[in-house]
Amino acid sequence: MRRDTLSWRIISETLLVLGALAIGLVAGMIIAYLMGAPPLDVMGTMLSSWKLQPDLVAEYTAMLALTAASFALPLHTGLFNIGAEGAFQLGALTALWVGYASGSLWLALLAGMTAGALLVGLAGALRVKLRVNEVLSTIMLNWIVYWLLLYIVITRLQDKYYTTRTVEVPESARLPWISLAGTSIPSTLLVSVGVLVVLWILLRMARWGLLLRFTGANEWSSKTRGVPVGLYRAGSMALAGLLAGLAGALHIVGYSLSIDVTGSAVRNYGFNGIGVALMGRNDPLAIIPAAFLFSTLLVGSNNVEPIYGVPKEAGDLIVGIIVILLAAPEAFRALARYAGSWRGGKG
Amino acid sequence: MSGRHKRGASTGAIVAAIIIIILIIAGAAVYLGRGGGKGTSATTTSPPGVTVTTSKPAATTTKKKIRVLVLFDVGGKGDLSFNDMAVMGAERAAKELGVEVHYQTPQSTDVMESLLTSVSKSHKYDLIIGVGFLWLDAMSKVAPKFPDQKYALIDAAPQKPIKNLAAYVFREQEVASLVGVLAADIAHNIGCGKAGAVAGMDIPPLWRFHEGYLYGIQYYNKQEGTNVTLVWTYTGTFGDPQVGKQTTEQMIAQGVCVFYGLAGLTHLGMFDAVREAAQQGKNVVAIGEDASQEWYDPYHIILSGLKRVDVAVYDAIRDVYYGNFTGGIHSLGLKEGALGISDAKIIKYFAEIAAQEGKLPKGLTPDDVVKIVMQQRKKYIDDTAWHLVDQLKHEIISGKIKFVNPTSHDQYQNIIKELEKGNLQAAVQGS
Repeated sequence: MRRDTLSWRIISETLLVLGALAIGLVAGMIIAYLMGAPPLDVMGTMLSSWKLQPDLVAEYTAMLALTAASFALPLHTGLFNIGAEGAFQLGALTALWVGYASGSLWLALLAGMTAGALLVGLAGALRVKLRVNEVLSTIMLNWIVYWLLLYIVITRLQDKYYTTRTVEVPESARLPWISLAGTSIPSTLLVSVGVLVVLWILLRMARWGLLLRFTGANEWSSKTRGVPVGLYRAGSMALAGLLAGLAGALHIVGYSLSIDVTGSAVRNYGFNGIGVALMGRNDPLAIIPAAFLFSTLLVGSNNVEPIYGVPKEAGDLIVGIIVILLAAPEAFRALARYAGSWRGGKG
Repeated sequence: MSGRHKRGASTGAIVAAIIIIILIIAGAAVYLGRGGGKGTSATTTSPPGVTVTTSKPAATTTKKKIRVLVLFDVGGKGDLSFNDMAVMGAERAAKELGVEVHYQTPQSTDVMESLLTSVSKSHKYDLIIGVGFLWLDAMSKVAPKFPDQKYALIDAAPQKPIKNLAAYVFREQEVASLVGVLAADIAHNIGCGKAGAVAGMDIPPLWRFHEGYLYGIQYYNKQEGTNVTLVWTYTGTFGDPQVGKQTTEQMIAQGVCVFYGLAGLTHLGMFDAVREAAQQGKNVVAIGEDASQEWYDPYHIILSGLKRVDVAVYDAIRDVYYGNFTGGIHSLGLKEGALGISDAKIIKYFAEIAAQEGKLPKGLTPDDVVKIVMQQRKKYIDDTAWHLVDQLKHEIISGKIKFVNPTSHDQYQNIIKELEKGNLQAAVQGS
């Protein structure tokens, strides 16, 4: 009986994903056709971008996997964390500053994680203690970080000659790249995948992981059995912030080395992570391939413009359609869980 | 609800995700295997508002077709100014020289290095042009690694010259100083005594505009014995018309009556705020920058400072076409015809582009635009101001006035402080 349900779920989920992907690809090809470009070649270019720019796809995958985990983790307890964007940027900024000042890779990473954890943890504490909607508080925190970043980048960290960006972190605080099959990619990917695997094991095997999922699955039942729901919720938010902060710090020490004065080097990783988390059904292991898919499409859409002369917005549109189709089923489930999180009294 | 099938759901998700990955890799392998992805079916697009309909090679060419890749600033096409002018220059080269032009817009600055490396490795392009100062860092790092690839960088220069990188920079102070003289005259004639500017970000090109604009205003004050002051505002963004509009409304409330737009898309909002204020009976005027922007609202935008990005892009392509490419820094200014104040010819040119796009205000033809602008200029600007402009222009072209290029934020602020005190020499080299 149980085996039956399990295999049925596998088959139905597989069909759902394959169907969504097929519809997305066809929709993408229709858009390409309407833009006057060869549909098959456009999709081919988009999906083979990992061959063209392996370093960028690897970096995107690493970052999006972590920010996706940052969204997924609190959702297991029923909370919506929109703050990965702010935590990523704050983590990047702190890591840059500390890395630049100290020249230490470990201090930079530690500072980035701490900053992220404090930022999103604050939103978690506000939700648990004062029932402040964490969606609103994290969005507001994102904006505070957005302007803080621009202010500090321009007034404190600007490079003397390359005024379009900040100073770079020194050699000693950088994460080396690794050679792989003839190209080299940032080793942030290894760190990111490692963290996600550990997270998956903890969620599945550790006591607190089970309790964490328990609070989200049935809050009332958890409470009556003495699980400190509020603590788990606030804790999951702090951990989520830590993950996004780590992503931001890794991005600085392992890839971009500096932040440009428009801040574009550290933007949108948090928001894109939400899409990745939903595509990956909030499961740390499934998030990794989902992040790879999103990254491939993202980099690919950018390469469609010069080759086929379609506007870059068309590429973005194709990515958007595929991601929405793949994320939609989980988005509905997530909304249901979120609505449930407000039902159970205080906390 | 979820407890019952949770385990199954995530197992299913993993299986499904793995299948997706296998499909992507397999699909891409098949695609690459059959010779796709080499860009064999490349075509050029016609960019917005350019009269070119074909990119056929010119009859004279016998050599192999030159391919150019134009890499935009993060904003991309459609700003009616900086990036669109790059398109204009590239399309002119496509039409006159028969080169093949491709365009690409990066998503953010951190993809630039990877993108540039990837297109350099492909050896598909004879020239790769980075439009805008944001390309500076990536160009400086990538260009030395591909010594056989030619690069051009518009509006920024690397610290040390690179042999295969031609960097085009503008002496923005020159055009801003001319605009400053005219803006001061307008402010004086309207009677508000305050000339304003809505600027983008606090970065070196804007420092140079600030320096030049204030210089022009003080130059006017000195010659005419007036006391026009400058209200300069950084909005912090080049891409947000809403911010531009709010900023302008606040400045109008402070009594500013002339607005110089130095913020890309942001100052489109400035134009809207000026028009609305004018419709409510306020006497306010706007000045555009980079392209001729009078067509947007000819009754209230009566001037534009020109920063001819198209000239730089065209020059870069032409030099490669004729084999005259030289690396290093190319400085462009009034003397090279890359800067200036919009005249009837160029106003009409841009109005025609806008008309083709269907963007011209209703019921106006390009000729109407020119006529209205010229009438408005007569109304707001005295002949003496135009004489002053000619005089200043002559002094700049002859080399008598050479502006200082501030290299640090402190130096920039010192120059502004001195200029505010009326010390014109603070902005001039060798004095």
